[in-house]
Parts: sequence; C-alpha cells; structure tokens
Amino acid sequence: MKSRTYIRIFLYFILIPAVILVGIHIFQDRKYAFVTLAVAICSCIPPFIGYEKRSADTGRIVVLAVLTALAVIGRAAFVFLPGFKPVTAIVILTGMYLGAESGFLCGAFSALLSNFLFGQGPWTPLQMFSWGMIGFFAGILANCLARHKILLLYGAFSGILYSVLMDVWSVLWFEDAFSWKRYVAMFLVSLTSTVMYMVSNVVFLLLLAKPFGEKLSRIQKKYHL
Amino acid sequence: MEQGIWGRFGAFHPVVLFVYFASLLVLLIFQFHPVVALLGLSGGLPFLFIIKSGSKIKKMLLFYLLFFFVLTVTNLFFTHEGQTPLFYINDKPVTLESGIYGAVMAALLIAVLIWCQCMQVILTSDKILYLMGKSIPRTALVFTMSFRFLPLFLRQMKKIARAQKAMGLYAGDSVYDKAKGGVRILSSLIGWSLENAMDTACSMKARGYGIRGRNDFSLFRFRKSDALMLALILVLTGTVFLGIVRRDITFSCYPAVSTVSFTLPACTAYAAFGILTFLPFLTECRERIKWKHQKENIHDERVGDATGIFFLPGCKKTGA
Repeated sequence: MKSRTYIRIFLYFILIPAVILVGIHIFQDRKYAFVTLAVAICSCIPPFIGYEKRSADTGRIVVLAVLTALAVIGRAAFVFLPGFKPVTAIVILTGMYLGAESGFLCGAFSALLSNFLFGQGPWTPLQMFSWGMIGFFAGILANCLARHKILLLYGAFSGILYSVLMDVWSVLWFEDAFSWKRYVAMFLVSLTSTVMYMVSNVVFLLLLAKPFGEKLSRIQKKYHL
Repeated sequence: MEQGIWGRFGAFHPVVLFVYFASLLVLLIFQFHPVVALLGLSGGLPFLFIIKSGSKIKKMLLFYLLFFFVLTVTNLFFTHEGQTPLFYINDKPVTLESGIYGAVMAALLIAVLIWCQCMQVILTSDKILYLMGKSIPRTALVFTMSFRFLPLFLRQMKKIARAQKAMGLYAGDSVYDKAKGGVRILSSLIGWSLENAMDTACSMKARGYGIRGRNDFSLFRFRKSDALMLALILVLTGTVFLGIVRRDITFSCYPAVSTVSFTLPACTAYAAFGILTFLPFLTECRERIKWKHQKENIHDERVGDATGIFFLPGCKKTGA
C-alpha cells in the first residue's frame, strides 16, 4: 500500500510538473497550448488510477459501462439538434449515483467513444477533461444535488462551464496567448449553443432524474450493489 | 476501410502505431513552423487517400480549403501586430504578418485533423483497448463494454419504439409530444439495459472474472520488424526534437516574419520530420507493389498448369 502512495505522490508532484516544465522549455512559442493539453491529459490519469485501485465489484463495472453507452447513444440520437444533447445530464446522474470516480470515467469515455462517431481531434482530451470533471464534481456534491433545484442549477452551470472551457481552449490553441477580443468573438458565436447546452441539461435532468434514480435504486436493492 | 489484418501500416504492433501517432501529433500541434506544416500536410494527404474511399475525400478537401481561407482571413482582422501594414480599417492596420501567422496556423490545424483521421482508421478500437488493457484493465473493461453496448442498445431502442407504436403510443406532431415519446423510450431502455447488465455481471462472476492468476489473450505479436520500425520512429523523432531544443528550427511572425533557416542542422531536422511523415505512405506503397508482384507470379503458375485446377496439399488424400 505504501509504495502505491509514493507512486501517487511522485505522479502528482514530480512527474506532471516536470512534463509541463520541459514542454514549456522545448515548445517556447506554443507554451500555452502545451500547458492546457498537458494539464487536460495529466488530470485524466489520477481518476483512472483511482478507479483501478477501488475494489469495485463486477456489477458496478457493468452498470458504469451501460450508463456510458447510454450517454453516447443520447449524443448520437439527437444529432439533428446541435447542442441539444442528454450527455451531460446522464454524466451528472452517473456521478451522483455511482460516485465521483465513476462520474469522471463516464464523462471522459462518453467524449472518447462518441468522437469515434463524430471525429477525433485535438479537442478530444479537452472534452474528456470537461465532461469528466462535470461528472466528478457531481459525485462530490452528491448530497447537495439530491435537492431537485440545486441539481437543475448544477446542470445549467455545467452547460456554461463546458462552453467556456472549450472556448478558452480554442483561443489558446490558435493564438498561444489569451486574447480577450478573440474570446469575446468566440463567446458570441457560440452563445446560441451555450444557451442550448444549458436548456438541454435542465430539460433532460428534469425528465430523466426520476426514472433514472428509481431504476438505479431498484437494481441496487435487487442485486445488493 | 480495407485495413484489418490485411492492413499494411496498420499491421504493425499497436505500441509502434501509438508511439508513431503520438510523436507526430505532438510535433504538429506544438511546433509552429511553416516547413513542419507543409511536410505534415504532404505526408498525410496521400496516406489518407490510400486508406479512405475516394468520394468522401473530395468533399473533405473542399471543406479544408474553405477552413484554411476562413481562419487566415479572420486572423487578419483580429490581430493587428506586425510591421508591414497592407491597408487600414478603422485606423487599425491589417498586417502581412498576421496573415502569414493565420495561414501557417491554419495549415498546421488542417494537418492535425488529417492525421487524426488517419489515426482513426489505423489505430482501431481493439488496438486502443489492447494498449489500455495492459496498464488499466478495469477501466479498459468499461471502455470495451460500452463499445459493445452501442449497437446492442440501438437495436433494442428500435424494438421498444416499434412495440410502443403497436400499443398505440404514437408520438404526435408537437415537439412536446415527441420529446415525451423519446424520454419514454429512453426510460424503458434504461430499465432493460440495467437488468441486462446485471445478467452479464452475474455471468462474468460465474466464469471467474477478477480471480487471481488469469492471463489474457491477444493476437498482437511484437516482431522484429516492429522493433526496427519503433527504433526508426524514435530516432527520427529524437532528431527533430534535438533540432527544436537547440533552436535550429525556429519561426516567429511578430513583430516581423523571420526567415526560414536552411542551415545543415535545420535541414537535418526537416529531413527527419519529412521521413517521419512519409513513413506510412511509403510502407503502404512498398507492400502494395510487393503484393502486385506476387499476384503476377500466381497468375503465371496457373497458366503453366496443364489442368488449370489447383489442389491444396493433402486434398487428394482425404478425398475432399
């Protein structure tokens, strides 16, 4: 157990900063782009390892796989309505019911898997990070989110968060410095989809929260998860 | 998508492929340089041509051209740094430098997108799973199971929709009705899939999933050619990195566009990167020529055979 803790400390405090420092030194002209991508990829590692270490039983693994697949299908099923997707809602509910690390995995894998259909690109790690974090915090805040109004508020907030993170990434990627002018332009262009994200998160949480909770707790009771 | 086991570049070991794409994409994303952009594009496009069907390519190229144009033009109007004003809009200079920056950046972005598409064809999900399964088996299991669930759930969703229609639960024309119908189907799908998942879990448990001492099976073997390819990739990437670290290849647009250096160390780095980007295309070409040659040999033999019938060794004995 102890050596594992050392490995973790090594990873967090030595390896990740070292990667970032060396990267900044090598790619001086593109340091912002490097830092954002490096942070996004590196922050995916701890939850994966954490999930690995948990002695979760087979049932929980399979349920997580089911929920991830449902999130991806949700993204594919509503492909004709850009921005109006149940993915975030399902990720939030997964985080709430299965815990923070499972929420992260559900978010990250929904992004990775659905991009096999929609196209992978340099944005994939960022999407994995954003959706993963939304699921992760849903797991941490599970007790607060049990209140319906706060859940809906969190849904709306995560719509904004997702949009802002992706816009900041695009600006840093293209310019390698943060320019407010370009960010405001990006923000205005993506304003409709941001509003779409918020509305769809709230709508899907409203519609899905009850059947989701009922079914999951039924399964939990029936199979002693 | 004629890859699979017949794939030529794709037939290399997943570790080799992963290292290749990772180093190539890192260089393309983080090294801002016109020569890098040009080499990335010229190596990636012919390879993508070979591994993808032709009809989609034309549309894609058109899209990329448009993309290039839009990015270059928007950069002209967003960034006013640089020394050489072309003309003025609202007392703000539109500079040559910002145009060149936008063009190089757009070319790099398109190169990255093209290589991502190549990666999607070559580094298929089973290979990704193999790479993940070694280090994070439980996480990899979640990944692969969700992958399998996708077609299963889609089929089940259609079944549920048909069943509900037969029960008289039509979705009306109004958006509200449609949404309600969609959620009814989704809710039923959630219930079914969770029950189904628990069956799977029980079955896995019964077969001893998670017991110590089990090993896994894979078709991938690390051959000598894989080792050679991996060494070549690492040497080439190392050479380019050396050029970057020693500042042999640098390029900046602001305040003035710097000249592209063609000193010996710089040219070495360009050459290394060029070979790296053309590796898949060349491998593919070599294998195709080899295959064509072999096919001609087969044809010759058949012509020489008097009966014109092939017998597999051992066919006559068994009387098959």
